[in-house]
Amino acid sequence: MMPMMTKTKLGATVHGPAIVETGEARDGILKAAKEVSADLIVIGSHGRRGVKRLVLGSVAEDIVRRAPCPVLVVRMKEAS
Amino acid sequence: MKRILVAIDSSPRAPGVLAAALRMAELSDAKLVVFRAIGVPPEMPPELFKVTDVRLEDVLRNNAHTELEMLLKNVPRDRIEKIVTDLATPWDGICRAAREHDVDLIVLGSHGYRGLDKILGTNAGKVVNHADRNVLVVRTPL
Repeated sequence: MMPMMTKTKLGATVHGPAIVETGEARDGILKAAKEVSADLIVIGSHGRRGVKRLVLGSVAEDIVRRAPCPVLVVRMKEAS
Repeated sequence: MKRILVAIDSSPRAPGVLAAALRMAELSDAKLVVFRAIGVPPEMPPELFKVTDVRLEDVLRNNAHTELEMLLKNVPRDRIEKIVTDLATPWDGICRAAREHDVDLIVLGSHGYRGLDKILGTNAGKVVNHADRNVLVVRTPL
């Protein structure tokens, strides 16, 4: 049974099951979203970085394309 | 949250995107910056912009504003900070307007992402990659 309350590393308490998947992040996120019939996916993104990103796109971009529900993309500050 | 940019196009999905942005604005007591990109095909000869007394750009902008006003007629006026139109590629115009108006969130529609869209890339995907702030992509059924 998955726990219904999860303490995050930052100290916040999240109400809801924690789901751990192995494999590609994008596939795991989409699979979990479908399993729990999510109304919203919240995902962090560092935005555009480097040539690889320009050619391949980001995980967030892929999620936005394939998600069955709305997606909130939170822009992470660049750590420099 | 102070300002939310909502990107509106001329598609039948626009009212759904606007409704989602309005709900977000009401929940966080933010104002809306309503943005509409006016697409100009790259093949359009620049001379066309000068052939009449009325500037073509003004005609396009006026049409866009009229359409937006129609769409916004049921939105409380004090919720709208500004209506912005720009002759630009949508994703580029959206990212630029978001910076210029220093919004806290961009709300836009996902469109359907079917068929070729999956390979060629889409407006929402580009905004997600290029914007330097938070983006909410809403899915609106037709």
